[in-house]
Amino acid sequence: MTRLIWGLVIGVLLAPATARAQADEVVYYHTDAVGSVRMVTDASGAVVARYDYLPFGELWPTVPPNPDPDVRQFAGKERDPETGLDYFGARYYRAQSGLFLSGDPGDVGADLFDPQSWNAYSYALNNPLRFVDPMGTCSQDAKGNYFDGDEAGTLVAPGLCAINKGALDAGVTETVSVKSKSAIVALAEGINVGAGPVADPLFIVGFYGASALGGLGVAGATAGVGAEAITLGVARLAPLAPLAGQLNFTNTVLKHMSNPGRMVPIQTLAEAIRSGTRMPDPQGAAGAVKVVQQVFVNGTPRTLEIIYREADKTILHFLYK
Amino acid sequence: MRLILVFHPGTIRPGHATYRRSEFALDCGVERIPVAQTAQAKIDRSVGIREPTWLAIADTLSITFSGSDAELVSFDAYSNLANWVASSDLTLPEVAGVGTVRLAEPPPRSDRIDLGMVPTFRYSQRQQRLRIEFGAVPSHYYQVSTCLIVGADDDGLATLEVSDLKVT
Repeated sequence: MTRLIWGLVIGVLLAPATARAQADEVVYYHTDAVGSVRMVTDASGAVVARYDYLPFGELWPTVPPNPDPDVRQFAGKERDPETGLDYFGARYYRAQSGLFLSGDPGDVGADLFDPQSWNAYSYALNNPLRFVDPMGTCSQDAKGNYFDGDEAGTLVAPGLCAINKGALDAGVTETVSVKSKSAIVALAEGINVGAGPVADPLFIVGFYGASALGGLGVAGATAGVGAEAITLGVARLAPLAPLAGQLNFTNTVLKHMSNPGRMVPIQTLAEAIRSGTRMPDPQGAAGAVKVVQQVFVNGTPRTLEIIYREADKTILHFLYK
Repeated sequence: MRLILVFHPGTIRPGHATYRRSEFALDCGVERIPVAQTAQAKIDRSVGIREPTWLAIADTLSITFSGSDAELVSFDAYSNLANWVASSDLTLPEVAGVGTVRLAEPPPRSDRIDLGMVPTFRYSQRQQRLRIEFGAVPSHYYQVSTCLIVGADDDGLATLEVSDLKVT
């Protein structure tokens, strides 16, 4: 039986302080800058295995150098010997294509101003030499810092990948419009204090906010903020999951939600309620507001309209057109 | 934008029309006649392929056209009865035919048709009738169910005439 002992910091294999216990033998992993296992040594320091990789994690040469390859390889992730897929926690990754097998969980993490983040299947902003994606949900450098995808690689928020879901769980954030990246950094640092553990990767929300339908961040175009804020994007770390779980529906709305041609994901409704443009309900329902939000449905821009009663968090009506 | 319709003669079908005050919800449907399913339809259904549906939207009112022939099957609206225009007498129009009303040209690339207008609701509580007006005067009427008559002019949909409206 093989017992693997390794340190976990948001999914990153720690080296060289990690060891694999196999029968009575202790071996040590040696990893590179992106956490890939490059060498395995025994207790005496003798090399028992070496691994080289192409940039996106494919073994080079493709035939493993030893007949009993170690499970943990590219980015320190377990490589399934039968499928060759790497397990990143939230989803599986295929090194031969450099893509995840499924989209970004919840279609979040896209940044309107970072085209490399628009592809929900891409790995580490298509820059695997610089970034890693420890949980399959967010790209960061080896120190856990999140960078935007431009050539300059501007630091956006230190340690963001580690904190964003924790901040959501802690419920310490609100919708905040920012006019500079330094403000985003300050915001992220402030949130870091109250961050808790990552609980459910499905509800991790991208730093700039994103449409659950289109995968492309739209929060930057949220009405009600100034033109400058629209240009630079709106940082949103709102606790969407709690609101989505608290939403109520009328019988008519429930009927529409059960119709595949009309339903809108609850997360998207919650997102729109939190960040959409509000106005009085034209029909005059007591305590209700009309919420309008631009969303993407199958890549097509649509206008989502919701009639929402704040007091009991009830959706009275919704449709997109 | 006008909703261009075509009429196909047929038999009158059962329908329902209800309004729930608590939800501001108007719901009107036409019972569809079950037809013998083709092999393709059976296969489609077994693998979860739904028949095509189009929604014509006028403010909070949505008219559903369904099936390969894009037939009007229902409509619903979020609308406050207190805002409807009260009318003591809504004359029942003379129908030119009984059958189905279909979209003349279902949009091939979208399942939504935005009419870009706010319809007027005219209601007679005494007669339990509701007329929804789309800004045109109908020149002919087609009865599509026991409680729904569609009024149209040469350019498209003009009114929806609902009878036996049950308000709860």
